Amino acid sequence: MLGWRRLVETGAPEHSVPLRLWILGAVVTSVLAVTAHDDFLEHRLAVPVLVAAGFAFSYWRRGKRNWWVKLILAALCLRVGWQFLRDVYADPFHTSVPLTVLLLWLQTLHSFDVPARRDLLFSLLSSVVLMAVAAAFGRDLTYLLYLAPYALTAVAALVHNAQAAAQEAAAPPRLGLAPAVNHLLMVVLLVAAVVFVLTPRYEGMRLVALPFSPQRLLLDLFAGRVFNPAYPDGGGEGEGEQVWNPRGYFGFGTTVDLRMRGRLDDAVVMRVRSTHRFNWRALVFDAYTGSGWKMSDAHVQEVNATFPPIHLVHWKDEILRYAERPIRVVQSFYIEAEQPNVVFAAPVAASLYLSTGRIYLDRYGAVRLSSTHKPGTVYSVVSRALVPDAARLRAASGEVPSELRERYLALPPIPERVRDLALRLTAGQPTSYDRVMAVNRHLWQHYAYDLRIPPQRTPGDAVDYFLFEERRGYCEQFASAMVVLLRAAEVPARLVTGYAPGTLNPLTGLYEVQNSDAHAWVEAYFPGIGWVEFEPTPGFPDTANLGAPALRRWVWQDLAGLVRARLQVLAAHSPVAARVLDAASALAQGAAWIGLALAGLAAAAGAWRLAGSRPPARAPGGDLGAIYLRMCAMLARRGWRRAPSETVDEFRQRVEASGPAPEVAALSALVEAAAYGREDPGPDALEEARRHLEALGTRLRRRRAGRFG
Amino acid sequence: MPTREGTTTALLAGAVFLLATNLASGLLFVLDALLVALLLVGFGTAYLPVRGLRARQRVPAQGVEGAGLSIEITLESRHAGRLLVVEGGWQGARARALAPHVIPGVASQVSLALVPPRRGRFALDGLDVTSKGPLGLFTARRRIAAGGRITIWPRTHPVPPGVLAHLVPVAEGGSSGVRTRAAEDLYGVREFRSGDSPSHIHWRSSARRGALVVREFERPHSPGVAIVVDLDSRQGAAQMDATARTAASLLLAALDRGADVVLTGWEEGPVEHRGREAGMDWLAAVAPCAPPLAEVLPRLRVAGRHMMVVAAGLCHLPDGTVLAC
Repeated sequence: MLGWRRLVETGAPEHSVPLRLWILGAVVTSVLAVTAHDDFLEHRLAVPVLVAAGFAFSYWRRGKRNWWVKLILAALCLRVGWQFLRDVYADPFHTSVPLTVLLLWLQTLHSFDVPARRDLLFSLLSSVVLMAVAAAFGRDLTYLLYLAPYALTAVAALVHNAQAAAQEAAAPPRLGLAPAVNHLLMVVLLVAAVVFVLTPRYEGMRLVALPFSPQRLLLDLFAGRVFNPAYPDGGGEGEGEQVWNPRGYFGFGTTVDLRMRGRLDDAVVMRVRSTHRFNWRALVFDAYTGSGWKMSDAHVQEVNATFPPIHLVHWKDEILRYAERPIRVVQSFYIEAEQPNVVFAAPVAASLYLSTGRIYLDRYGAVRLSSTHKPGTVYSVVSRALVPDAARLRAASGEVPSELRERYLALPPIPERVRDLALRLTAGQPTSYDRVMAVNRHLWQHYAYDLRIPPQRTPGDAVDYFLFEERRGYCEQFASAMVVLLRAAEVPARLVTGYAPGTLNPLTGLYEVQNSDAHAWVEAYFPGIGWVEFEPTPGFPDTANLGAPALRRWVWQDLAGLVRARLQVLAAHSPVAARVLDAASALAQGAAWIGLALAGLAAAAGAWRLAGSRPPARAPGGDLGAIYLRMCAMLARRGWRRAPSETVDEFRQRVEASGPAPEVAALSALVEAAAYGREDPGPDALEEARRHLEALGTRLRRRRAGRFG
Repeated sequence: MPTREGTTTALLAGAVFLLATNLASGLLFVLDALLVALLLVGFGTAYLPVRGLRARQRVPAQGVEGAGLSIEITLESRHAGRLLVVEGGWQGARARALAPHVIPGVASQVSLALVPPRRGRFALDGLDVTSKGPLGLFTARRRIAAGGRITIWPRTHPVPPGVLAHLVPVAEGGSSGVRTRAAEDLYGVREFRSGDSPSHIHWRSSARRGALVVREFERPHSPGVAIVVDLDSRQGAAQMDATARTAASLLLAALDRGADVVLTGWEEGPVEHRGREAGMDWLAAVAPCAPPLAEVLPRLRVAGRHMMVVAAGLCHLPDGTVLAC
């Protein structure tokens, strides 16, 4: 019975106003951090106000039993739980939002019943959970605006809690805590920065359900046609010359006009969370017109799915015949500015989590939607990407299928000097891969990336003008030149448009993709392998780096590289070191694990030292003493307050003067025997003392104050 | 060792790390770093102040049963620390005090206030210093050896005038208070008490002890008093305590009146103690260890003195009168 009561009792009422205020600050900050997200804006005012009111109410009623409050809160908990179940049933693919709403309301209700310190600490704990929820929803650095005050309030709350606990242990003088909190906060933030850098990052996103916007009933406006909202005709073949729009890339249409000039702005158009770093591929163009590109095959395949994800079955020539296991690339796209109705994804998209159940798949492996991406839209894609190395590509062999040769080697009449350049560059190159790299190197080394070039001054072939007249230009011109040169050298190739990976924000873990990251690059076909990306434009991420983990492994990665480099230097001079290299290299690869293991060992050693320096177990008299003090507290509430100078026996006599108190007598005798007896009392004595205490408690509750018997 | 709050924080940090990894969320890694930093700082601020800590304790030589006394503790640490709880005392009488700040290179004073529950001679335990640091996430404990002994005198109470009259008869010169120095011999010194003449203050002794001390005078031929303490081994601890308290009360009352008091009893043989400190020190530790008083009384050297036997907390006169003290 005593054990059960100990379990359900939350302790004495907490009277410390500063502790309550700091914990209230932490809770309100966490609530504000969560409700900063669009999905919870409706709770932004109500929940913090109710939480504050709840804390005030709890302080006011902290000494009372409040059974009626508990009943009301229990009923309201059931109500919000029922609402949560209804929301989940209505949309089982988006449980995070109703779950967060449930958490917010549970936190709010709990605020009305936090009389004791244990309850307050539970509120602090739940505020950490809310901060984690806010971080999971966070896509930009706004979260840090909440994290800084949260750190302050949490540290201050912990300091006040420690002070309150110390006050229980020994009455201290009044403490000035402001300097302690300030210094601690600075130290904690500094250490946190170091920890953040040192924290190993592993590949994650092994989620059952990836995020996507709730499904909407949309009109199928485009019926598989590509529509670019930045251009009046949607980026198609409009009448006359297109007018440059700095807020939208002209390559997201059915054509790419190489005569267009201008610079895109730096507005963030989307944020991408991904396991790996890739170009976000959108559209593919196979037909070169001399002044631009178009898609020769406008046919699309409609794919419908009732429930996400939508699994894609690509056209025959898009299916990769690569024998090795592809990389599983999981990506979530958070749209910030309206985008064309195409799915941006790392190649090759396999499963889609979209707000629509109907998509269109073209023969190039690109996916089109029934409407454009509106700001706030979220969708996820699981891709199966191949990043074959040079040796693998050199070993590619076999005949290119005739239908691919027809489509991807076709060229309009081009100037002879272009064809001559292609043959000159690829002469003597034994494999397709070497020919591709020869052209790629030539473009990197002899041409400049420049967005300020004037319009084409002389009529004629756009690639010829770029290669021999202007010699500088946009990524579309680099990519077009590479594709034309490769086709001239009998290597199937095509032009791809999309977005470069963007800039990784290490704090959010998201790639921030700007308008100016819109990009064009090249895919070349290798028999037996499939389409492989190449980057012709200097200054853009080399395709060799694509497929790298999205989140940098920070110091762990650098340490592994450093160790490997040092060992390689040693191995060059010593055969023994060469033997060690393999093992050490493996160790360096697992530097994170080694670091973790060392940290664990250090923690264990510290704990061992601490355990060794702990004082020996207290005499049982100490435990009996604690029980005796509880008895004294119990009696003090009933009017028998033990004077500091009163001995155990004298106090017993005084209590018994008002009536027989056998429990007090028995417990006093046990304590005296423990303190002055020749032998230590055993566990039986402790158990007996607990029984007496429990019996005394029961009897006191039944009797009037100040009287026994 | 981690406290409940520390364990909870560690579990949360682990959960947030898993969540951050699975969601590939940098912001969750930031939150996780904050939690880990709290743990690291909490561990450091709890462990370091205790690790480099030295302590000295200054213990009064005597205390009185039931009367508060303080043990002064000086702490010195190589590291700054906050909220250090110092626990010390002896078996059955332990107290805690809080050292709010410990600054490296600066001695911090802590006073342990405790109430000795029982007379006796005690060896002080070591000091247990506990630090939870300012964040309270870890508990670091260390026991520091800091020796010392203390004697707790029995509690005294006012002696009824009737008993006092038997103990120090007026006819033989007993009177209360400190007498004038005319025609009297210097007996000794004692602590200043309210009502003492300032002219009797012995300044040299006062300066040495740090408390006012007055000269005590005695008439040349003051009467002798013997207080016989019953140490019958058959009596219980509570009875022995009561006897020691009564004997102590009589001793001090008699000394205050200038009587020549001998405190006597039978341990392994007859023992005699004269003066305040010797008598009280003996009473602090007396234990029931002797044969029945009737057997040993004839062998005690009390001839020529007024005798009063203290047994079971009561005063017994030679004529058989029993007085409650």
